[in-house]
Amino acid sequence: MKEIIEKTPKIIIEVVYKSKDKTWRGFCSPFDISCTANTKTEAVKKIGELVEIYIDGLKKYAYPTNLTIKELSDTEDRTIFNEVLKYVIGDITSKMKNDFEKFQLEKESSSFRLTNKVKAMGTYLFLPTEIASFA
Amino acid sequence: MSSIPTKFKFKKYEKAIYKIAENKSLILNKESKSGSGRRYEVFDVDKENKPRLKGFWVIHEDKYIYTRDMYKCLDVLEITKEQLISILEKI
Repeated sequence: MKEIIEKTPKIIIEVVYKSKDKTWRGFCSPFDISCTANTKTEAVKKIGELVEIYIDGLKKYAYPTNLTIKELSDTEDRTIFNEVLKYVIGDITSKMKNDFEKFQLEKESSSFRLTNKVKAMGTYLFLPTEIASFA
Repeated sequence: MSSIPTKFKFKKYEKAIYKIAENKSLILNKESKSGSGRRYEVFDVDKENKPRLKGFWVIHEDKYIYTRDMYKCLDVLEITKEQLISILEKI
């Protein structure tokens, strides 16, 4: 079970965009799944179905490594993905920062005492980002 | 090669992939679920004649298939775009 959890991707990104050739494209990373459609709605529906049947396959064969993480094979999908990835990373970073700040504001200073090789005691406190960057 | 059409008949594409698999002594298995998503699973056979999963890809089944979408099979079937198109044109 632990092995399967380790093999499964930690993030799945589904994207729909208007291609240079005027069709709508849907793709999903890290599986290299993609589809082409005439409308945005159709592309959303198609990519959702494809992801579902792909994941079924991964489960059926216990997440084969060569199929669980695959680079996008279509050049235009890859270009769009690189842009999307920048946004997603920025969004995750910002959410983590907000969560962390909320956590540190709620936290009072924690005290510690070391008694083995080093004998010391003290407290630590996370500073809100603005103060930390000012310091 | 002359300019490649943007779409092919799905049945033609399917015929081509089965033909490629057969020529390479591979087993091609089609899995369906509700909707029109299809999963094509490819197996080779080991020394003990046991099928071993080589890979799979997923596509939508419709009357036509966009050429861009057809290329998902290249990796698993170990063929090039040109080979696939050439086989399709002969069917």
